[in-house]
Amino acid sequence: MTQPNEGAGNRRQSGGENGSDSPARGLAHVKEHMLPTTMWLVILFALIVSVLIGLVEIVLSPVVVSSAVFSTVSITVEVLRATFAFGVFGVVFITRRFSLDRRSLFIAVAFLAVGFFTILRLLTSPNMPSMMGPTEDVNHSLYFSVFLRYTVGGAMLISAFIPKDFQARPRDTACSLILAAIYILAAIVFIMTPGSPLPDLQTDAAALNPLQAELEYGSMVLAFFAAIAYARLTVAWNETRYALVAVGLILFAQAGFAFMESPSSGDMVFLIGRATALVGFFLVFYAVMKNSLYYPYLKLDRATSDYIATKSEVEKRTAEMRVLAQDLTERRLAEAALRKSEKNYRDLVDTTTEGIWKIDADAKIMFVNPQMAEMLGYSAGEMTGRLVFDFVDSSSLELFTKNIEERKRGLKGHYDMTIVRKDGERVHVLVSAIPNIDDLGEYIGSVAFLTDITERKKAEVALRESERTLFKFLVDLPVGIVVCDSEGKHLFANDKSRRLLGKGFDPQMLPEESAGFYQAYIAGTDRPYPSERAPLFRALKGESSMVDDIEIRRPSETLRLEVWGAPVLDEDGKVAYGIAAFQDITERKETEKQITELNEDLEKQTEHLADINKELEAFCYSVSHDLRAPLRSIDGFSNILIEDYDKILDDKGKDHLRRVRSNCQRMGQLIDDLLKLSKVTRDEMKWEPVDLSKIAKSVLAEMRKLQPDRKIKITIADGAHVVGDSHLYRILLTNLLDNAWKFTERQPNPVIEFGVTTINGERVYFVRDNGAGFDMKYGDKLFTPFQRLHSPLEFAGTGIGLATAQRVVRRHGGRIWAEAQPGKGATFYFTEGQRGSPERDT
Amino acid sequence: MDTRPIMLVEDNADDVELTLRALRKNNIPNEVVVARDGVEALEHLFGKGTGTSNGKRIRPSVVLLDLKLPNVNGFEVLRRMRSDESTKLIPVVILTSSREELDLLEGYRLGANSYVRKPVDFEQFLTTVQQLGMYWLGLNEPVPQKGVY
Repeated sequence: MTQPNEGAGNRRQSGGENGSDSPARGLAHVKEHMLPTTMWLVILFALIVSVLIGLVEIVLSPVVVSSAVFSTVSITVEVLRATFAFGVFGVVFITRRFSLDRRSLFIAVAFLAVGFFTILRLLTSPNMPSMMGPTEDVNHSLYFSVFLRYTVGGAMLISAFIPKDFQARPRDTACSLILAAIYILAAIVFIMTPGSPLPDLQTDAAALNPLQAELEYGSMVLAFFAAIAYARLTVAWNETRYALVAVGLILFAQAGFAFMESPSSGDMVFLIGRATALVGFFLVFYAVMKNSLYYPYLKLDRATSDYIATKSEVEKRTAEMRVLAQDLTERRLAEAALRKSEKNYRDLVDTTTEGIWKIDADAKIMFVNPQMAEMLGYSAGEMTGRLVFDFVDSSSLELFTKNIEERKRGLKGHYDMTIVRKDGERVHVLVSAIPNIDDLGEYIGSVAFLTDITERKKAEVALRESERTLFKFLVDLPVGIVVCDSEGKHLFANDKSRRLLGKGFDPQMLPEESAGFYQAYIAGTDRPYPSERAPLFRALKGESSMVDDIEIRRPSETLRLEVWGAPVLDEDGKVAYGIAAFQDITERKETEKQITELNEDLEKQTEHLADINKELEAFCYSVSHDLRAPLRSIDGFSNILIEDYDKILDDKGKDHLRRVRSNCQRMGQLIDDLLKLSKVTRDEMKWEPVDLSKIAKSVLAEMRKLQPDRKIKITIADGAHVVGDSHLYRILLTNLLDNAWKFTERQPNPVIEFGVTTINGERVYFVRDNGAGFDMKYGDKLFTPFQRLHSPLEFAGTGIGLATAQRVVRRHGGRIWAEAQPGKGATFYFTEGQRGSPERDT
Repeated sequence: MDTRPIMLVEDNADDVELTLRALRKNNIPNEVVVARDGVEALEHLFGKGTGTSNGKRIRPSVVLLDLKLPNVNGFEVLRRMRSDESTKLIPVVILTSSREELDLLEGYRLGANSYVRKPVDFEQFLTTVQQLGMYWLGLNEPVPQKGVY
């Protein structure tokens, strides 16, 4: 019989692995392997049994059983045999979808035919009632028996050589069935057709027909060879099933021997043969059953078990993997978070400006950040492991120890202390410390953050010093200072304020009460000073103000105060303090009053001057009109006398009249010059750029026109620019150059120069001549009106020209002076002066 | 030569005498009507009151006008002349002692045709009068008579 290759192969392989199944399979394993020798022993045993049965049959051959027993046993055996034969077919056919190989298929259809042949043989047996035609012909039954035996033997022999792994296709099944049907029908037709060419097999009921004997032997040999073939398969494949088949076939072959031993039916040997054949059939059936049903089920069972085992294993592994994966993921996430968190903390610790140290429960330093190490001038390694007390200055030890105790009680703390650098320098630090408590609530150390406040401390000291100085300033300030808070409560008053106000302050006093408290009045009245006008009160409302009309009245004296008020704003811009500063302005007010009075006087005087000026103008006007008129009359009538009374008057009289006339003209000239001087004084000034060089040239050009015959060397410097009244400057230069022109009359080589020079860093303009000059001892009279240093006979002139020149220079704010030597010429200097400068007396 | 009278407005008798003498010396033949003050001058010009001209209006060829006059001063006379159509175009020469700028400005502003200052020197005065006569009575073309008067 066949065994699906996979199963066999697998098992063989398993057998190769020390003959034990893996624990994972863990199955109850049917012991079905046999050693080749065992196989051979089994087959040998079957042969021996067959021989023994043959011997028994020989011994028992004389025994005859009764016809009833014989028929009953015989029919039962035949029915069972048919049943087993159909069983073989049925089992294979039904399981064809799962384990159909061609060998099995071949055996199945062969046994189908065998089944039918068994039934037909039984039915055509002479002992059976006539059901299928002429039962008298014993040949039918015998031929069916021959077909049966040859079919079994041939089919089994052939099947042994069909390759075991030759899988059948569905089409093969149909073909096999059709062929089987044809074979059965052909056999029936061949045997049952009347006039069959088949020779009779039973010619004598008591003896065996030679043909029949040959057929029997042939079938025995065939079955025996089939058995041998299966025995070979058994050994080759080491399969129990093939051994069963082989044994079955041996027994089947042996049954033929019984038949030959007892050719007549009805004896004991015949029955034993039938039984032996039945056992053989059963063994074949059993093998087929095992092949087609048991092994597939076994495989299925194993596979199921394997599957279940594998599945549970897989599930278990999957679950484990999942757990593992989850663990891994969680752990990785946790690790990542931890790393990130650690980095954050590390960054924080490394980059903070604060120093950080961490100490354990024994106050040993476990960790310091770089800033901490730097603050103390150590390396982090030098500090780690040392007692933290080593770094605390002795002045702070007590405080520090106290704080450590507090940490042990689980308290946080903030405090200042002094620590010592490696180089011995003290560092002031601000400490924020937190205790380190483990999960069980045990103190395991603390962490402290230290900020270097040495600079801050210094700054604080400096600030305090500066505040003290400032406070001292405030106290000693010669100005009264009063400060109140935003509520108006007085906070501070310096010494000066106490002296000025006559008393200190009442801290409970409200701003509106202060006027009464200090006896403050509106200056010049009896009305108390209203608080809404007081600068301190206004400062509290955010207003800066100044008043000077507060009077403080005391029995001894009355003070006039000037008071400034200003708010001091806090960061939010709200008024935090009000400050008032005040000083005694009693004297100043007195002075101011005097100044006002003086100013009033001055105004009056100015008005007076204006009046005088007006009078002067009127005077000048009338002078020009009225003083000249008489002169004209005198001159005119003198002239008439000279002309009309020429004959009456003697020479002396005429000479007198000429003197009268000459004086009249001189008088007229004087009046004109005086008017010019007055005009220079009175006229409104214009300020404009003036080119003195240009004016000097123009003036001299006019003089040349008047006296073209005079040969004078004239030098005029260019670029003498000033700012002033061009008309007045023209008058100035006309007078000075006119003088020079006039006083060089007697000089054979007259030289006149206008120029610019610098004297004592001041720009000075000058007019120089080499004329008559004058004695410097009369220099101071030079600019006085009508003052002449030369007689009119020497040089004509009214003596007003230089006065006018001085007038012009003074109106511009400049100075004029002269340097001269008699006979060597004179130089007149003047400076420019500037707008707004006071007129100077020279 | 314009033969119409010359009108001299002058309060100072000396000046009148000297001026007349100067005119005579310079051979100016025109009749000279002398007004001793502003009022008199206006009477001559507008024919009112009982002045020397007996209500007869004078149309002088030129008016020699002093500024400092009693009652009505020279400026006022000038202003009245210039504001009346009949006297508006009569040439007026201000002849005065003053050379004040203000007087000059005011004179020209009111429409004076000329401003001449009386010199103290009589000989110079003669020259001045001579030139005035030559100019206003000879050289200058007068306003056509039919035109406005």
